[in-house]
Amino acid sequence: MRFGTKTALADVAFHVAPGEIVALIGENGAGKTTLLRVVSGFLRPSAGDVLIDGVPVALRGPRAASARGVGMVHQHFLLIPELTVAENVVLGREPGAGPLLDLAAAAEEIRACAERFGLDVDPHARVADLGVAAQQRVELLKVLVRGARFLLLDEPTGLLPPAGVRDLFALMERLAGEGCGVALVTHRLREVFAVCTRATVLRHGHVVGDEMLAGTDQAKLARMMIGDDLVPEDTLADTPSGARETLLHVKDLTVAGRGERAAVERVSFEIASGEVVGLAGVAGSGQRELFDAIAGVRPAVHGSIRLAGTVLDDLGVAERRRAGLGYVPEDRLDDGLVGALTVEENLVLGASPERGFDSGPWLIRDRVRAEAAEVVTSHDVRPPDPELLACALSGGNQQKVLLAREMRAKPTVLLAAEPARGLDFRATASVHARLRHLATTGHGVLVSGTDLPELLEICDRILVMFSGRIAGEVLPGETDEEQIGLLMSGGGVA
Amino acid sequence: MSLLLDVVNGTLREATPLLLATLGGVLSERSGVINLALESYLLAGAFGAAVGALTTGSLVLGAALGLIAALLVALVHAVICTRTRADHVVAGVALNLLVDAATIAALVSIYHTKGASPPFGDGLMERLASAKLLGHAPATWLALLAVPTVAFLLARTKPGLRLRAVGENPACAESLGVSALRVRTLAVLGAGLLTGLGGVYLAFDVGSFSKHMASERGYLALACVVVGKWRPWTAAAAALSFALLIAIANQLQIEGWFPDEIPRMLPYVVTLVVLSGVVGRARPPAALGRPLAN
Repeated sequence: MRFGTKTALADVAFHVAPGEIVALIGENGAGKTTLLRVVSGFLRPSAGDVLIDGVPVALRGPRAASARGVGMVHQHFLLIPELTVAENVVLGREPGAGPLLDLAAAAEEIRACAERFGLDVDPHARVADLGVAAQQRVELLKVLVRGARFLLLDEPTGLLPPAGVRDLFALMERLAGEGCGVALVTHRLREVFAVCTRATVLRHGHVVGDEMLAGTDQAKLARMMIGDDLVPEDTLADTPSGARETLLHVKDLTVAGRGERAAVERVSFEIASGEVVGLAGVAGSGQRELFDAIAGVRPAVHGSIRLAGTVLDDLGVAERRRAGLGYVPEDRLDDGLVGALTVEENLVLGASPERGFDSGPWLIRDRVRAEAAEVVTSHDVRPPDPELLACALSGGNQQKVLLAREMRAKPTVLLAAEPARGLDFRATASVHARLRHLATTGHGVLVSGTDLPELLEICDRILVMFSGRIAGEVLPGETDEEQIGLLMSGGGVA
Repeated sequence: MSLLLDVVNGTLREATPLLLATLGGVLSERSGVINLALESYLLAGAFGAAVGALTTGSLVLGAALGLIAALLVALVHAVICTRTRADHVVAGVALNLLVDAATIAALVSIYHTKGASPPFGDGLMERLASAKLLGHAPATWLALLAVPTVAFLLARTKPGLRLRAVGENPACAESLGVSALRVRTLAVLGAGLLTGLGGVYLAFDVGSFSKHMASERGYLALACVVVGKWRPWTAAAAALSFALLIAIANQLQIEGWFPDEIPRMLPYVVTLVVLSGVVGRARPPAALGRPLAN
């Protein structure tokens, strides 16, 4: 399979047997998603075949693959938010006589399938009104009602809370028990060991390993993915310098939501120098709105925000940045970067004048070039071409550029939403190290995320959000995932 | 009493082409094709109907030629909007200018006049009068019948679901084996058929074709689509309300009590108010105006 001028997959052999759960792992851009898209008919290989039941099949489109029992659940759901669950699921194979659409029959079919697999969904709900986990169940139903025998899951766990991940794994095991073959793409090695029997490792479009998990361990898989024995250093020296002082002070912050209810309700907390504070919560608990409100992107209804003595309440986004706030938003391409600008242009966007990239209205090309050249090397942006358009980079590499821009401004406090989303093993470790480093040099960091082990690893303390409020505060050493999971879903008191 | 009846009849007369074009606009836009070319479908329908009736002496053949002319224009429009990456707004406006000029050129070459075709003869006019049902042209009743039909088509049929899906996310529809190209082409042709019938009505109502005869009804229909938030019932309600305002304006012009410009202006004022978002936010289909990935 060739992709543009660069080969995305070369001479790849990958197989899934009925009843087997196979992990497909590799670094960002290794070709995992591309491979799944080929197998499910979304992309056509320039050479090679896909064999189903031992017979080579020409998959002329996703529908052909689906007719042969191959179904894919995409990382970015392929759903139509405006339509109902039933309409989304039956589209393309609608029940009903002649041209008539029998929605009652559709709902019944979905209910039966949902019941059989323990997927709780209301067929008449509008998909736009559902949460991320429920939307994923709709994607699964779409594939299951079509009688998939091979299920391809592209990073399905990224947005799920711990309980959701457990349910998904139970479903995968059940399907495997019924004779389905399952392929799972994930960046989280412990998930591979939790649910898979075998792992295929991709590196730069080549298969570099195919291991039964019984005979291997995480470190060995990690080395295969990266390609050398250099497993990255986890963290840098971890002693905060100087006395602690409160850098960010948020008091009684309330932010309006979409409906009647506030998205963020009377939230108060502080962040001191040298601290990495985590913000845990199920996706959509108000993390995004809270971050936006602190950054000044979204108005606050009530409350006050102070940054190292400066009251931010009446300041605009640019003034808050000048006061020392850095922000890595959740949606990197919509809110974080300008896709139609080059990497180097993105890197100096919004930079303060002190950093010397401009002089009056003019950009100083040499300085911009030097900055970009350094970033692509030190942050391992691939391909390392500062003149590439940001939208041409893979998701993980876009994230690296965005993080680099915000971190290099040396903000007093950095807000980072899902900083490691879509990043591979090595890049994640590097981001974690950088966040810790920022804290040890006297800055404050607020990190949100749905991956609890990640937060437990890098944070000094974790605030848990539920339904717009802070449901509790926990210390990583003293709390385990279960307790945090409980707080995230509105139960328990810390 | 007779005044009220005049206004009702006037409303139905004004509403016929407007309703048909509005429903055509709903079909086309819900599939993702911005339809500024409704004006050209109306003109083509009216022109074809007048020329057809005048040359063959038959109303049925005239109506058929009107529909064919409108369908041809819609076909060109569909090809531009689905097979190329052309901007839908530019394509629509260009088509309007082209068809307007083409009808004038054709008037010159067929009837050696720039303004209008010759009027229908007494025979044709008599047959038009006798074709009326309960005092209104068949097209008027068809237009009223088209409202529930289009609503049912969109909500309760397989093609309707596919049309809505393509208007929201063509890539998703494609992945389930629905051809977005086909759906959009058929939706635009459907718009051509409905709106073309509106054009036929325009010519038959007057008994001739005159240049610019659609007089911006196509644009007003698009405003109805937006005011009606892309839904058939509400868009039709908007079309009927606008038709009522125009009928009142026409009556005022006859009676001379009050400047008729004010009710004539109101549809546009309403449209602007709705567009500004004061009265609830209208959300267009997510893939409206976005070209298909080929």
